[in-house]
Amino acid sequence: MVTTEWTHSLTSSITAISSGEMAVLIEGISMSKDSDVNFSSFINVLDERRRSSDFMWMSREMNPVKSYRQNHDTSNPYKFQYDVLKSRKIKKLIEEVSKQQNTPESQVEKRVIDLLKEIGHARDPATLRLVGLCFVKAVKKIFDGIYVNEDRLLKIKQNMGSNPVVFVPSHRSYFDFCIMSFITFSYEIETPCIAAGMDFMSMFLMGEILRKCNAFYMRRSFGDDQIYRTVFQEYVQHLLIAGDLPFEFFIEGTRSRSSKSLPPKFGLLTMLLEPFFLGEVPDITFLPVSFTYDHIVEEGLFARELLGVPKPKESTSSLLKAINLINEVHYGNCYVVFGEPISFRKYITENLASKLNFVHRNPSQETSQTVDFGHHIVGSQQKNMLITSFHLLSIVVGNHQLVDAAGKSLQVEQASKDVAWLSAVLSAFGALVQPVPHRHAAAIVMDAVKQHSSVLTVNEAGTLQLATSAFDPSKFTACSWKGHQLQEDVLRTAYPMVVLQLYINHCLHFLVSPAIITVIMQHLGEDGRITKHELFEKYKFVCSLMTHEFVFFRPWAEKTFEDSLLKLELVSIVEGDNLRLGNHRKLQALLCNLLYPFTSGYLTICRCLQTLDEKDLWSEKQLMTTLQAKIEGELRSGNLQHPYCLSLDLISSCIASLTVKGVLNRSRVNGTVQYSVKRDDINQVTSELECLTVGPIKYPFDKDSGSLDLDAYKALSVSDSVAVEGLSSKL
Amino acid sequence: MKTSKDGVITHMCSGRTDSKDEDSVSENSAAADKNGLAGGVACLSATNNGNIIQKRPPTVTKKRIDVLKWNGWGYNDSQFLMKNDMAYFSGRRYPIGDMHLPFLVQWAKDSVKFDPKNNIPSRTLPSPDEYPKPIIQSGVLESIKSTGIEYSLDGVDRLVRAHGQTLEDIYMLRNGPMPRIPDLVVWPVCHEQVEKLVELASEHNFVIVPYGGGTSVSGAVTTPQHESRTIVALDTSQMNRILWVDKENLTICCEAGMIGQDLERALHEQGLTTGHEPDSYEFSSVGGWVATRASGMKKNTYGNIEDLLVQAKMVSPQGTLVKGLSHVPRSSIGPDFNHVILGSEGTLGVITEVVLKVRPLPPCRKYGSIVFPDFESGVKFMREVAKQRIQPSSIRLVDNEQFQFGLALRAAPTMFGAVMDHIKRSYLTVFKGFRWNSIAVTTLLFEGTKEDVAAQERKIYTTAEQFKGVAAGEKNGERGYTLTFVIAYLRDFAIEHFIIAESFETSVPWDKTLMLCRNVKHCINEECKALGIEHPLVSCRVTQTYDIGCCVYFYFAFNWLGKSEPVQAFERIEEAARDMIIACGGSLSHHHGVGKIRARWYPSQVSALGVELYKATKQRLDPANIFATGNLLTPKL
Ligand SMILES: Cc1cc2nc3c(=O)[nH]c(=O)nc-3n(C[C@H](O)[C@H](O)[C@H](O)COP(=O)(O)OP(=O)(O)OC[C@H]3O[C@@H](n4cnc5c(N)ncnc54)[C@H](O)[C@@H]3O)c2cc1C
Repeated sequence: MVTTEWTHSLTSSITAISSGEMAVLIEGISMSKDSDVNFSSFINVLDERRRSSDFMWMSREMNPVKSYRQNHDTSNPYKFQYDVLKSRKIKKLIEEVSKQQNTPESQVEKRVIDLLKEIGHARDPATLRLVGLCFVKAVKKIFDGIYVNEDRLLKIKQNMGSNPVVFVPSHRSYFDFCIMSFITFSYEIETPCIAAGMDFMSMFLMGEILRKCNAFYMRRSFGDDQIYRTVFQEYVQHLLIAGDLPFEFFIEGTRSRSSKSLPPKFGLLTMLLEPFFLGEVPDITFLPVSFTYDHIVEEGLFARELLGVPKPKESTSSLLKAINLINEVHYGNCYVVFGEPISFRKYITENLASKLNFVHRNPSQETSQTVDFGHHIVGSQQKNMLITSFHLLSIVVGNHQLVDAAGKSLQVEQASKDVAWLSAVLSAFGALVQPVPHRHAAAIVMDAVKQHSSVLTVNEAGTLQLATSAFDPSKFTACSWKGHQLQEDVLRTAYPMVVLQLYINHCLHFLVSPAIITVIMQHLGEDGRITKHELFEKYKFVCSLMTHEFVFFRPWAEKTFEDSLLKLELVSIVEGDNLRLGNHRKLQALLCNLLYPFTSGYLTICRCLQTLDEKDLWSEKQLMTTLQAKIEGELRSGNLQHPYCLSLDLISSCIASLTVKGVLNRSRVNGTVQYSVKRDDINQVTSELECLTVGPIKYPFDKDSGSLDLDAYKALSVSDSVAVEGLSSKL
Repeated sequence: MKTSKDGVITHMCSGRTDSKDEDSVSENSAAADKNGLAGGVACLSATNNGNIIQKRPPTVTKKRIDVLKWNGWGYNDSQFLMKNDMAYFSGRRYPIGDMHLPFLVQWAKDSVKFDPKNNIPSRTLPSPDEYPKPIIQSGVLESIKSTGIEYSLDGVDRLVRAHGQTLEDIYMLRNGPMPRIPDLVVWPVCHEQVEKLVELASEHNFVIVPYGGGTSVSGAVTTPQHESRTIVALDTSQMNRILWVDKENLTICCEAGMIGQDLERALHEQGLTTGHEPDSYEFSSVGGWVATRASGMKKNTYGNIEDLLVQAKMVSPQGTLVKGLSHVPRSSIGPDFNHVILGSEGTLGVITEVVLKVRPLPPCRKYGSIVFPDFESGVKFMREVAKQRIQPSSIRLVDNEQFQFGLALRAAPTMFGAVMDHIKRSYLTVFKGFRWNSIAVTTLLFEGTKEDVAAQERKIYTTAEQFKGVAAGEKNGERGYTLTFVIAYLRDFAIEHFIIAESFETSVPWDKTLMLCRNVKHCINEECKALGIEHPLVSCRVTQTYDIGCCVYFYFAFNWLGKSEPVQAFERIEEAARDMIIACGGSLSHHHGVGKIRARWYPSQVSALGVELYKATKQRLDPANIFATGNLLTPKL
């Protein structure tokens, strides 16, 4: 049995397992298909930091690896800015603008210089070391461990030097880029130049300190400012072409408040790729990096933001306060997974099979290649997102709350079993999951709960309970709300559920397509059968509706669909040529319930929109507020079960999709965006959605706990040969 | 002179009257029947005002292996060897001849993990029964015999004319399986004999591959492998007379088989030179130059072959093509048919006689060199030189890898020399702030009167200063040029020690030059990585400058110890590199030609209509595909 296999590899492990020892658990087990990361290579970089002097370490002599060796001296950042100023493009810009605006060139040049000062990084190794020292001290208090797949990183390091390198981390926390710099410093790689948002720049002291740690600043929107756009673009491109530091940017554009992957942004990516399309750099190596936190430091802020509770402005003092707060909480581990490096040159010549030509360029092809590539990067990040015990537990607790909140309470023992089961199932789905052996499941779950005492507790009776006291909404009632001002009791119950949902969201990219298919199948009539073609049509409809909720890239829809079907077949959720649901009821129920907040939320929104007058014009805020209020009402009346439906992110994603679908009319009146409803279309979408939404499916989890192991075994023994058979039976 | 029925102007050619060669003729070959070829001198012009230069025996004899290596480059007596754990160059023909080269092995160890102990010897010259049996269609031999033209069926004679000098050729000779080789070798001695042969080929439907010096590096002269007809290698080497010299107009007429060194030697005696000096000029032939559009090192002063060529005669199966009636400096008489002959790569006919421009020998010749902090500054300097059109006869820029390599080819320095080396080195690195690992060097060759040379030097060196160039003396320049002819010998030495070395070239506009160099180097490195090849050596140099761009030459070498199929690996790398060159706006070839190995890119380079135009020409001149060399267009199998 699988459990015994696990125990074998774990004979050395002790009964009470702390998260610090998780690496031991992880070791030796690798069954993932999507991710190509080798668990055994995970190293806790903090271990070494706890063993030796931080000061000696920070001040050690080192010769960091450069990303792109240059023949010229690159150490002076001011010389760098000067070179940008004197570049051909900027010279031309100055001439043009001066002619256009009829101002002397010196004046335009002055503007450019100011912009360069605003943007520019100010590499200063001494400051970097000092900041690093403080950071290490703090980070050791905050986290138990920072785990890195070291073998990959070392290989990446070894291959650096012949062309620019761009780190592309997922963005879940402010800690992301600090940890990135910490890791590169640890492994003696040059600290990357990071594209940072302007909000940091305006922070007292922080702005300048970060500059010295190689941050440079990027305005959120370029507007029509041609000068800024050109200067910024030249700066970025010069970093690639003439610089020798790695580059780093967040392709999602911003921290994901919902913990879901965000669709890629293409502005900066396009700028980065241009030097390649021009042949000015021989290649660009992109390194997707996936961050996973046992406990996201900003989870409270995010949950409040999703609900529309006003957000405090980022300032140095609030950051310090946040750090202080941190000291009291136990944040577990951070996992940093470096994905397979992607050579852009190879990507377009091999994956996209297009011929290079730097002389006769093809702009429309370049654009589509950029879009494709952006999705490829996000896909690579997703592949390597780790799913830890708390993510699993959130799914289990969330599901329980949905179907059984009023009924039986959830015992730790039961939750542990389910977590172990889920861990096995998700690995079979190809996710990178923390293995949870049955024997240790309870200890692991208890540890996870401890890290999240603000939302989840265990009482003496061994019952898992949502904590409602940690959040005091009264503090916020006076501030200006982003949407509808929610009732206190609603907020209290919503808050912990929304926090849990953050951790569920983190895993959804693995599950959303299988879940959509399962939901569709669930709603088939008596006969319960559907052809693949019909199924795909319905699948595409749901995808198009949730295209802002999850990252769906239309050109890949068919492949994603096929992959998901295959997965579902493997765990007998669907079967047969004429597809129908198999007998794996438990997982079916879970998948449907996972999608429930979204389908029910969207349905509620559509129903609300049906009631609006076609002639009325709504501003975005008005619309959101109205919808959120309506959802609150439905929740209170019990027509709606999941408080995540209140999420403004969900509501605005829905509005955006409906706008794209043409159900909502979006127009600009006097500079402000206005929406109106198209009655016929909304009716149509609503009825389609109605066919897909029912209440949460109750499945007595403990009913057949005997078969749980069996399920787990089944999921795990999905060997490659079975996968291949599954495939060939399709052909 | 007569006009053939096709309306193509042809000339009566008389046979040769000079005495029989000293060379022994191979057993099988028949002696030329001189009787039928009476009197007179072949000429291209009715107004021959020059005098015939007495013909000398060619340097390369009919039995090529008496003089040249059968399985490598150059003279039998000249080669790199390991002697007392040191590299050594044998023979006394070249400046480093009979010298130890104490730095070479270390350099090779550092750059390509060379190890003298790893040795892969060449096979020995195959014995007579190892050659494929010649495929001789009935009647062919009899009719050739009846013309009295010398021929040979001997295995060695056929094998040495089965190939050029590509890596694939040499590897095949040393270690590969025996390929398809020509079935018959013929040695016509004049234009008329060539006409006869081509007539016979049409009559009997056999294939002719013109063979000049055999230095082709495009696979052009390599025997077409999928040909089932009799293949005749038409060796032009016995057509090696200078037919006349016109000192008034500074033109000469010579036969196409004359090789560069023989031609120059004869002309020097007259105080003349063509100035055409491709790096292969010791062995490549006038006909080969025209057929491949060759380029000489000193083209800045004398021009490339297309600038030097006044007139050429080409025997095609449909008659002899020749342009113009008289030797005029230029004309406006429709499309220039010289350009059908130039670059025809043996696919349309045999070039038999050529009228070339010549120049008086320059009274003064001087070398020079300039050191630049990096390749980029060097290229910018070259661009400026081209813009001002102040090029001396030759100007080349080598990158750091080649600079280091040049140093490695030094002989042991004297005590004083070593100190000087050190001082020079510290001057550059300490005082000028140059980095030893990024220095690039320009070598210069000035020709003209003393005053001309002085003036040229002044312009060049002042321009160099703008680009942080530091003059580095005549000696370095001279070494750069004199070693040119030695470098070709290095490949055989390398291949013997598991190192594959090859070069390729392109031409590119100025603004794309650096981009191209950077991307091609990167591409080669990446391809090597993908093939598991560590430590490839990739290097480039700018060898020619023009108004709008330059010629770039790449060298690369890798160690294939422990890997199989080095030639396939090399070809994959070369293909990727060529794709990259084209992506960067470079040409398919600046001077090596298309041949077989670059034929797959030819259509994309000349457009579909261009291909049709070429095909129409081919169809008109050679409808039966007698010249089935497989060059330019890959034949459909
Ligand atoms: C070490 C080395 C250095 C070189 N350096 C240079 C250089 O600096 N510049 C340069 O331009 N090239 C260079 N080359 C390439 C080569 O020398 C040239 O392409 C040269 O012009 C080939 O002349 P060949 O007589 O050897 O021709 P071959 O190799 O015998 O033949 C080449 C092609 O021309 C055809 N051909 C030959 N003679 C005739 C004829 N009489 N009539 C019709 N077709 C004919 C052949 O069929 C074949 O297709 C170099 C080659 C080597 C090996």
